Amino acid sequence: MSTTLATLRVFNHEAAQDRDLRLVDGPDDAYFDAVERDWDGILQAARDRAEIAFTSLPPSSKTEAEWQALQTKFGAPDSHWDWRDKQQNLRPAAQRLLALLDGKSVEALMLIDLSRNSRLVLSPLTQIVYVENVAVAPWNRPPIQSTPRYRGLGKLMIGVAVAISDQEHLDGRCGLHSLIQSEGFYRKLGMADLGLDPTEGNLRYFEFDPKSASNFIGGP
Amino acid sequence: MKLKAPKRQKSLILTLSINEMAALEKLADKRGLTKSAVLRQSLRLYESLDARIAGGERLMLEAPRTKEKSEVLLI
Repeated sequence: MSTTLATLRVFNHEAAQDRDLRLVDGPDDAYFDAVERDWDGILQAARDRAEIAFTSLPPSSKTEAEWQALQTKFGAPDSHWDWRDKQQNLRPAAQRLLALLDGKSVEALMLIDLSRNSRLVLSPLTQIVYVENVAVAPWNRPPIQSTPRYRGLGKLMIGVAVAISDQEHLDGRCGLHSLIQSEGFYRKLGMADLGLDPTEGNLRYFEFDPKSASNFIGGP
Repeated sequence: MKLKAPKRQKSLILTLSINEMAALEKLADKRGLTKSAVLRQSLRLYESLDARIAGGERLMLEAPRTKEKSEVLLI
């Protein structure tokens, strides 16, 4: 069952006007149909462009880092994420899947887990909101659409994660593993960089403590 | 950002022994949480561990001094 948690006013650059976007906890199946219909083809095309660029590289340049960079360049580092599968395999007490909706259009999605522990606090069982996945719609990505329909939705969704952390008495604590190309973004938000994590594909781990989370939420 | 609480909530009358209630109150007090929040956090953790153990992972505790490891089994 889906619940509307908030209505957020965001500027739509295509329509050149503010729109009220609905933040929904537990979007129903129709929205995953919309993601498969509206997102997947565009992301696959972007991935195809990245693959063509990758195959044209000299053998010595065909590294994992270069592949990641090309996927980012073409706007589809997450094309392999299956959101319907994530919804169907949700652990209902610990995980929540949130969507930002403009009418029937899905503008952003985020999967969070409230059972993970802080890595900033050494005492055990200090739980956080862990952001497993966050993605904005392809038309909100500058590499895919030069004038994105909505800007800043990734930052907005991280703000939602912090707000849920507050609501769940976790004091704004929030952590995530970042794709390589997004590391600068999370540093800029004020999250602490706890280094590369060999247990999570060598992705870099970031976390908000209560103070930095409060600065982020209260900041401009 | 102010979010509405999810509406999909149900109430449960829970019967605990005096000792269990004392333990719950002590944990809530120690962590500055309500008793409900402690139970909800515990449920999330239990669900998560249960899923990971069902997937083949093992839950180990390590003694800080001796580094001796012991496996925790969930029933």
